[in-house]
Amino acid sequence: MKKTKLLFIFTLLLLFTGCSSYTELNKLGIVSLLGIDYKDEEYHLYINVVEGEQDDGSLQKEYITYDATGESIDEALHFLYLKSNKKIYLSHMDVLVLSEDVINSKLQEIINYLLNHPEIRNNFELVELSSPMNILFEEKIDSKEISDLIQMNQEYMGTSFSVTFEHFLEDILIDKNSYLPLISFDKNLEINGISLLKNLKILDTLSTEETVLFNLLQNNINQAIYKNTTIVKNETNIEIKKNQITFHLKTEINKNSNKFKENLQKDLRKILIYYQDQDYDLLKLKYKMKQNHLSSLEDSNVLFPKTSLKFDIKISYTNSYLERRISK
Amino acid sequence: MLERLKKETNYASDIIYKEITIQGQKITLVYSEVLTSGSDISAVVLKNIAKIIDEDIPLPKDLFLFFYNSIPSHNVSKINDYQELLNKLWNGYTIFYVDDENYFGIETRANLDRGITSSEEEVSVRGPKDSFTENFNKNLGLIRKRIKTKSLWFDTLEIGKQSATRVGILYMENIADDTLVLDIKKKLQRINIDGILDCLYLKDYLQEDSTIFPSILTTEKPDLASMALLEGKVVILSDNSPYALILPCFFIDLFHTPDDYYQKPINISFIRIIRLCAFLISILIPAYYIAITTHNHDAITTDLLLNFLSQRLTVPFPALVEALLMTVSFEILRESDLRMASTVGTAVSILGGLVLGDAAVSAGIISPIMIIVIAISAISGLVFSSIELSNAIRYFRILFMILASMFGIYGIFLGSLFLIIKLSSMHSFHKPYLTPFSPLILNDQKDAFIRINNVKKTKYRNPLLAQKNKVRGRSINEKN
Repeated sequence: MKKTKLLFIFTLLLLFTGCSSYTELNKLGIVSLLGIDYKDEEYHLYINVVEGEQDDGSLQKEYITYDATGESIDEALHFLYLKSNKKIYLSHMDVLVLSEDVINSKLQEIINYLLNHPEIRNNFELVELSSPMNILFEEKIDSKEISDLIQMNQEYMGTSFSVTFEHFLEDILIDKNSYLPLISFDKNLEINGISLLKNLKILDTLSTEETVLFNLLQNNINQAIYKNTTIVKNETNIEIKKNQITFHLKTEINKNSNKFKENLQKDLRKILIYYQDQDYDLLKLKYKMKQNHLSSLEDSNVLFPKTSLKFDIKISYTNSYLERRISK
Repeated sequence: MLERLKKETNYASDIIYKEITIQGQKITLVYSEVLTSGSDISAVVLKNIAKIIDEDIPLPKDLFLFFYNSIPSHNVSKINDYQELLNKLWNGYTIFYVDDENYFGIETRANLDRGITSSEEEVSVRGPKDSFTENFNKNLGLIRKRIKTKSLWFDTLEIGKQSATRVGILYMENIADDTLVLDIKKKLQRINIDGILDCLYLKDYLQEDSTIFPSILTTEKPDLASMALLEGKVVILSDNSPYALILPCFFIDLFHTPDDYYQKPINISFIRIIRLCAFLISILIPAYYIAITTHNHDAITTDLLLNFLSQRLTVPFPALVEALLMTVSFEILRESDLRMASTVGTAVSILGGLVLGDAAVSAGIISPIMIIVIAISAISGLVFSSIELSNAIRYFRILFMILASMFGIYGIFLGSLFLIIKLSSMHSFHKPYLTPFSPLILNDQKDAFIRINNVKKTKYRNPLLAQKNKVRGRSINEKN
């Protein structure tokens, strides 16, 4: 009886073979970069399929680019399959590049598609491309190049802001407002600041200089250059009270400049008040007010445009020992 | 009687019947020339007879009694019947035969054993190097010299209808559980077999569960056997076997070595964790590799996946077949290396290594990463001195590989579940195999996967084993 049971289980196991998601590695077309554009009421899909080749023991990445159009993303993907000799595998997608057109017209559909796709993960980066998409994919750009460019610029220059799909969704869930890093491609990749999204449509664009201010307020900066001055260190605390929001900034710069503090305060106030007047919550302050139990989200919607903004900026100047000796 | 002996042994040429006439009286010395020591017979028996002849010492009428009392040997024993005579003869005794009623045996056993050498299977870095030999008495002596107490009891049995092998059951009378000893004795007494050529024969009769995990520990190190005795375990020795059986054996015992107690506890804790990792790596690594290359491609980073992909581009086999090919090749190589003479063995290793390592990769049959995976897995499986555990790991490795190729990481999870259920349901002589983890014995955790450097903390024995006396030290000092 025991033997029969074992035989039954073993046969069952054998019968199950092939019913699951079995795919040999060499049959996979690993997509690292996906681009979606929307023109003439059709989706344009571009993919970079990455293939590895061992050359003298070191791994060399090779890219094959496919593009297809369709009335829906699924249809476009179907046409992509017709061109590929491998299973298009989206789980390892690093970067999703979106055009301005597709963001303004079909962002909701794209989000739904990405959320419902069984393979796609939530940790890929989202990017808006201001130049034509076909040029970027013709050049077979590595997805890593795009994500590194954004991350390096965010970390050391403060001129960009990296957004993963997961963070994008979190932002959207709070108030349907979010940001996307903006890049362009003309011979080289270039950072163009960030795009501000309101109700899943592009509202405005922050230039690279404005993005520095945005990152400064978000406490996102390791190092940056602003108005010919290098910011070596910065720490921002936002104090939220019912009728007043105070920004405490402790900034360390490398140049003794009396005007830096004034200029910084003026620019910060300008940008914040501009978006406050437009009722665009750039720093998600409404949500922070709600978190601090100052109001419900509905109340904060009413409160936010009227709340006064205050700045407390402390600038310190770091000069080296040698510099001090020379100036003496 | 002698005629009967000659007839029944088919006039075997190695059995010598030496007739000597002293002062008109005839005596016969019967011995097997292959089992006895010629010099011992000369020194103990013949020299004594020659002295009587030379010095013309008058002999009494009762030759039996005279020689029985005057033979200068440490072991002279009376023989009561023909069966006993045969036993003594096959055990290297010289039979001093006067007539059918009067005969006795003198121990003149030849030394047919090798000396005490260092252990080959269980290599010791620190601590005693001696190991058991094929001689029962020597083996017993190696334990006795370590545990000098009257509480070390040993019972002997003769097992094997034809071999009549001496089997000894050793235990600490003041520590070991009586029911355990009784149970083992009963099981041994029930054995009906032609011959026991090694004590490992007994394992099949003693093992309760039909499992591939060892429930009886085999050792060739007397210090480990002595340690086990002091824990309340039972040790079985048999003649002609350089191994001792230690029972019961728990899963955690397979991760311990005697060396663990001769070195700093902190180092040993590290090594034991490494052994646990090696156990898991050995079973899971090939399965995990198969799972991520066939089902769960999203479980690793893109760069690593690309690396694997580039290496597998020219391989014509599915990952499972590739892994099985490598595993079988490794097992063949290991077996040939074990069986070959050491001079040829090196050549086989080099050839095997080259064929498996370089040529197979160049030919595009195997991917380099698969060689790395199987090599790591195989080396990890060789960390353990217990061959039975290494074998168990091998079977589970293959089982996990098949499950991973069918269901991916979910299959590995199923296999792990099966492994845990299997281990939890096992018993070694009615004691749970996973002790001290299940049932949880807190005190024993200090000497399980880690060792704590505090004598007080490891003062108590495993209560499942040492029911009579759970406190270390007290039982031996106070009860004796």
